[in-house]
Amino acid sequence: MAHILVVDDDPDIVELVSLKLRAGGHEVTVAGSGEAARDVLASRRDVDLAVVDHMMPGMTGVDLVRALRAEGSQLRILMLTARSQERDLENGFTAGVDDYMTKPFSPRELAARVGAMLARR
Amino acid sequence: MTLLTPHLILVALAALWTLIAATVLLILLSHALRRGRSRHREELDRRARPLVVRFALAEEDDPALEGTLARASGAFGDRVDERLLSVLETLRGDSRERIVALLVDRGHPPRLRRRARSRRTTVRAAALRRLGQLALPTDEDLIRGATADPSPVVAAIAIRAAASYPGRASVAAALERLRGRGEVPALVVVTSLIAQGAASADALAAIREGLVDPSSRVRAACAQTLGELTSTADAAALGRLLRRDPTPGVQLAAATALERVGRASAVPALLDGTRSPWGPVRTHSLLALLALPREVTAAALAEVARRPDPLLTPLLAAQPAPPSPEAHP
Repeated sequence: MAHILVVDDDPDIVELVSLKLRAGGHEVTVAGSGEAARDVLASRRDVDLAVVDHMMPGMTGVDLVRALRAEGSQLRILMLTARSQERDLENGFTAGVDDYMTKPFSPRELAARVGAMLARR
Repeated sequence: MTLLTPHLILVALAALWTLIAATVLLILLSHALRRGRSRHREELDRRARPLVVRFALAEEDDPALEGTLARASGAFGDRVDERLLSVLETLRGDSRERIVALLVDRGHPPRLRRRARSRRTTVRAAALRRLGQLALPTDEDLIRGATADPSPVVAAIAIRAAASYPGRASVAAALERLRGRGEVPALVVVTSLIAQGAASADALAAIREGLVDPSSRVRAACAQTLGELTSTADAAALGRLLRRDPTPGVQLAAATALERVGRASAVPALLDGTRSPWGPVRTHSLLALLALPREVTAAALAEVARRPDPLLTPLLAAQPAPPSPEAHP
């Protein structure tokens, strides 16, 4: 079991991802924005992995990842992105994203990717 | 003689203040009503969301949950539909199919089809968008037909929705809108073509054929799409377009596409592009050259460097120097 942070401003996606990950036995914390995610990570040192949406108002997913890596964070990060933003994935990987999934996605694949990323610890 | 007696002035002032007070009251009332409705919707969403998500993720059939969702009616039923459609946009695989089946059970598609024929453009557009999300085979013709809607907004939504039915017919419907009237932004068409080209070999073939279409807007859109699809197999065709097309906009689209899909075989065309009288074509041809390995572009870049050009010279000067053999023994 791992502690996973889900960062997304869309309540439907948050509910979907959280429920799937909880069903896999993980502890899930939710943040509705990049700024909120930074607050969570500042107070909780036990987060093993973050599932981060690319497009969020204010601090985007890539901004968040860049800021975390600049602080030396080694957190595993899986980015969710719309297919039309594939060009932005280059920026995402440059910023320090470990893996990504394009929307629409299969919840089973999400769980499998999260499992694989956690196994690489 | 004057009509403005003190009594009349007082009455007028009182009437004015009454009017202002009534207006403020009405604004406050309408604001409170809107907030109340919004809160009510949020409350219903909070109830509907976990049910919809549980249903979407269920590994096994849950007749009780399915029954609850299928029977949801009134305002709550509307929010269940909204949540189902929202989740539908995010999911693929079994979960998606299950949600589509539930929306069909709830009688959603016939309602959407009726709305897709509404006289109000916003209603038509919203209905077409959702029918595109559902992507039921029965709605293929309806959606494709709506790409010719007199409203550019509705047509744009239909072009996006037509991407749910990738293939020659949907590509043709999207491109047709570029040929005739210019109110639909080319970007909308390109977005639809990208989705279709990625999903269907037939659609990709139709997009390739668009490179020789009589319409320059179609040629430009197809070139841009092939670049976005990173279709390196089309580098030669894009090179020909850059060299021979008479329209600067098409040349620019080809040069920009070659920035992503360029190959060594495109170097002569790109070098020609750097001599174009059109600044953006020269710039993007050079950027496409710079995106290729230096082994295949060294001679072309040297030639560009010999020609003084107010656009290209600063671009070349800003490039890092290639590593010298002495620096890396």
